[in-house]
Amino acid sequence: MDRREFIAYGSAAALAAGVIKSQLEQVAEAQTATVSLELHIEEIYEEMIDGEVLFALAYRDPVTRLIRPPIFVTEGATIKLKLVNKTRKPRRFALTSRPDDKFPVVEPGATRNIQFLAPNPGSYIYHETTEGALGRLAGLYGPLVVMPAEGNGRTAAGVRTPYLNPTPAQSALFDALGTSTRFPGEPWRPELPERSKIWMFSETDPELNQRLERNVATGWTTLKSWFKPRYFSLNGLSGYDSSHDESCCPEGYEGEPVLIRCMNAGIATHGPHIHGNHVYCLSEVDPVTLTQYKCKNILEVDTWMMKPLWRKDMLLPFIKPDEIPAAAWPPKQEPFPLFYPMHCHIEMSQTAGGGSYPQGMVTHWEMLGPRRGV
Amino acid sequence: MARDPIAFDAFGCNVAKPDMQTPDKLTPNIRFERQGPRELDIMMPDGNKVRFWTFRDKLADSGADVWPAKPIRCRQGQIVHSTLHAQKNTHTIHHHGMNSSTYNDGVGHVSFEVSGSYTYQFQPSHAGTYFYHCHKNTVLHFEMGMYGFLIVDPPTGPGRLYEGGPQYDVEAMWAFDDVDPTWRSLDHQAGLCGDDAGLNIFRPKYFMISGVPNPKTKTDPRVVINAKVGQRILIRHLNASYSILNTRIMGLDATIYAADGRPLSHPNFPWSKPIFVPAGTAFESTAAARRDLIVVPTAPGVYPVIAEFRDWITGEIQDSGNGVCETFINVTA
Repeated sequence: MDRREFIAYGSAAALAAGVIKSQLEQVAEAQTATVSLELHIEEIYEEMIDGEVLFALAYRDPVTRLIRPPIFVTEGATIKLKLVNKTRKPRRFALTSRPDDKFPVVEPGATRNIQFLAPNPGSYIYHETTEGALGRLAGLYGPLVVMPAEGNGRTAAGVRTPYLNPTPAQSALFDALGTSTRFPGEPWRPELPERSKIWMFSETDPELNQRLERNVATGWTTLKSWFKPRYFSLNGLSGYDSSHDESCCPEGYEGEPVLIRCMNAGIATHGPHIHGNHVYCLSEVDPVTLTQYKCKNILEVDTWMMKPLWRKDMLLPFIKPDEIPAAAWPPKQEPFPLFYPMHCHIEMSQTAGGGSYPQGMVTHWEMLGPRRGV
Repeated sequence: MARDPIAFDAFGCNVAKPDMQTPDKLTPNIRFERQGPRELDIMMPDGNKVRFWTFRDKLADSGADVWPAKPIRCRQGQIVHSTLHAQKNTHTIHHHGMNSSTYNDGVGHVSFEVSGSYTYQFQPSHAGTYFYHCHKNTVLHFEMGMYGFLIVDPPTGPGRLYEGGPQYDVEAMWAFDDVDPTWRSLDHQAGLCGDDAGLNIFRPKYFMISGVPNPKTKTDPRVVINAKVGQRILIRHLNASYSILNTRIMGLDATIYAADGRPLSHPNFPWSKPIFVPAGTAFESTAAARRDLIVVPTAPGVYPVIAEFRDWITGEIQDSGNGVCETFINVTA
């Protein structure tokens, strides 16, 4: 398998599981004013959920060996990023909400150091733009999360939120967590890694990956006219694996709300639908500038739209599922945990290789039981 | 991560199908029974008959089957029992937007599929617009039409969207759908055991509102709204397609008062507020989203409603620009 590393399905899942440890470490480090990172741009072989092995590209942390690693920084931090291009073509790092050509091209075999200030607290996708979306669709993407500095991001009542200067609607919602009959339990607790998740959506057309492997000229400007994805992923995993991987699956007890940062690295529009609880849409994206903004009107929905490069932060309240009869809560004959899917309702994304429903873009969340200690 | 081979298999064509009894079963306030799939053909404007799968109301229907399936209509606070009788193979009912227990959620790969009968139990907490559909091989079964509206009225009954919410005089249920005729001959199990059934490629050719193909939508009484000046019209808007839907009401302002069955004007939810949609402005919805709009015409007229179905990848109007449905709101003095 020459110099490219083979990412088998099992090992890919193990790498993704490592995100939690990495996140903890990074959250601690993120409180510093300067963050030094290194990403290698690599060619790999990656196994799909049905065993198909495809050429792919990935940003990789050379220390943890994680591919497409999540990056966590704090507002105002200076990010020093060392980029090593191990691929055969020039690559350009990019970040949503910044111009596509903001950063310099890194030639094959070259190393470049770039530096930039962390944008406002929120959710971002880092990706690659030398040939439009081609690099991104081949796997050159990852999440970048900017958190408020310690002491910032609080409501007037002192409750923590993911945002600087939360809107009145956001403040009302976060203040209600753990203090109202609608949301018994706890407030959102950002210090606990299990109370924050990232759902990164993407899709793969093997035809594109094969063209890139053979270094065949690929018409990226006409991409949308021929792109026919056959695999759909969440955090790089699909179907059974994305439904059982801790990087994807929120779990907890009643009253333990979880923030889910949804991001779409693909070029298809997706319509995630969640079972068990509705979710609260905390942020939207300006469709022109792709800048994330804080919602002044928070909709409680079970289905939401994710266009390419959009990021939406959704709050999963972890309340008693509303329609379980009060007289049947907690359930006596049905065991915990209660399992609930989240899947895209543009259902072609639920397939793999043209069938195998539901081995596509799906995950689960689990309610382990009623409120702890109650 | 080591896979559990049995659990992994349940993600394919070996989903559990035990003879289940409803756990924690209570005495219902209202019951529904749906039998499906029932097959029916609908004549399209080009003369082609297209096959659909639907549910039959086993307690009431004796004549021809209808599509979309008959609405399930109940009231907030009622204990609802909704029984599925699987006519052949295995199916489920997911009451979309009802946050039920796992066994009552109708998703095979986290619970079970139904080969005989099963009674789903839930108690709606929020009045609003929902729908129900088969959640087995959903990519195919939903596209084939196994769905119907699920309406939860407030405890006082129809006439008001939700407690403390807007009243209405005229009610419309619009389910927007797109149909790929090449999928119609597929077997129920198509693709499930790893075969390439082409279910990642969707090319719709027919565009419909509530079972009526465009352009019959312009005249069919199942779709066209008739109202008088000053009446409050409630439009229950469901995107039952696999497209991004852009809907415009020409000449009439609208206000969205609820999204996915949750109120936007309720004192207990101060973070939400109604959304004003000026006349002629498109509002966008993704697959399975519901929006409840109130329209109050102030002058007689014939007001067009135009819905564009856009492809999930190209963003272009489906079928080379033909992916459109049109209907009217007819307002008299």
